[in-house]
Amino acid sequence: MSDGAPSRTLPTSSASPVDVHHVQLEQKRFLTVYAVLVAGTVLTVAMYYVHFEEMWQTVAVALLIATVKGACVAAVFMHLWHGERDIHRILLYTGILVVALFGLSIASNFSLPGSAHFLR
Amino acid sequence: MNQSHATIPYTTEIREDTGLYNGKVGMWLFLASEVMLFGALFSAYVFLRIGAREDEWPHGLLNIPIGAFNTLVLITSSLTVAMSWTALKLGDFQRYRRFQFVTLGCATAFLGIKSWEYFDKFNHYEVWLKKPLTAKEYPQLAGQSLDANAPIASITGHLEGTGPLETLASLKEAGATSVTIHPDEFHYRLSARQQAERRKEERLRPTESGHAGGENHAGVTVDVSGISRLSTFVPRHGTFFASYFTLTGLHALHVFGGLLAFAFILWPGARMWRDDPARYTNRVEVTGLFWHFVDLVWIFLFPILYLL
Repeated sequence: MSDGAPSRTLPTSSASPVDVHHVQLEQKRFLTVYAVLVAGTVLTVAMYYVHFEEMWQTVAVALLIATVKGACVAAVFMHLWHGERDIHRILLYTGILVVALFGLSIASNFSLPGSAHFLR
Repeated sequence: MNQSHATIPYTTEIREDTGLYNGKVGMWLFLASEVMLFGALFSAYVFLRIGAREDEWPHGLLNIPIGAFNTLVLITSSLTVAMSWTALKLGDFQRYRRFQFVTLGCATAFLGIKSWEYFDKFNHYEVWLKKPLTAKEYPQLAGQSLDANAPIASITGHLEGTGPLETLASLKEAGATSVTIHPDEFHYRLSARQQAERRKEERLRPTESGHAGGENHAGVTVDVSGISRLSTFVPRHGTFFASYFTLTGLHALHVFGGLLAFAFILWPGARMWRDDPARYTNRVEVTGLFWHFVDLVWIFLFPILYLL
């Protein structure tokens, strides 16, 4: 259903004029990130069959790959690449709170006797 | 300026103080609260995982190829959302529509696969025995323990002739006196490394134990009176599945919410494209932000739940 929506016409009331070249560049970036995400997924699964010496090594590599993939999604798909200051500020405060949350959870675990088997 | 602009300001124009249109700021604030929500659940999971004994935490119960495929489905949907937005930027509504059909297809496929995974867990059992058995007595239990002489207090596998979500009470109510369990290739208490080593050994001397991978076809029959506990792999089974269903269930709800939002924008909401294409494009962009966030959460969920 198209609701009579016109095709191949540029929006007429856009707040900013459309730069076709810029949009095409953006599309190329999206495709590049997609390729990185697919490669990252394959790598993550392959890592499961490698079996590192210590469990913490597996955890570190898995989370590193996930962080790179997540950063690609946030930077390119979610346009954080463009550097909108107010959004960065919102995310900075959120990030500090999340890191604190993780830090406290992990630190509290180490304070329990006989815990943290997983990282040994 | 039309009526909608008079009532809702900054739907397309940029505010001087934020440098953004209002919808985008609103969505980012919402996503910040979502980060805290998932952050709390993730940190709780990390807390539980770190504190768990290695032989108590399930390994190999989730289907990695299926999980990886679902990851690719979600990543593909993120690409089609981004591409549909650029199509609108270029004024090509038909191209936008094609991309969004793929997005909706991916979202539906993701939820379908997830439901199938859930259903599989509703039919997968662990049976705790009052009197342990050994793999020496029952060779079909070879994958349930590292040592053939070690007592096996619980068996994982599928029950013959029962439906999903059975409990010990429901079996007794149905008048069952015994159950036949077809054991899994490996009990979850064996780590990924131990399972891989056992597989390698099995390949070197096949057919000895009568199974060549996957579920064991030779079952073990036990009396219902000899069972101390029986559970499918649902939240009440233990910490891992309580965390698994909480995290993936909440995530699936987000996928469903995104699916509804995109479907609304694509069909009844599409009238706005005719009246105010810039606002419509922005609406797709902010919904896309939500969708990419859902993708991002899954990027972290997949390795921590399926691989660790």
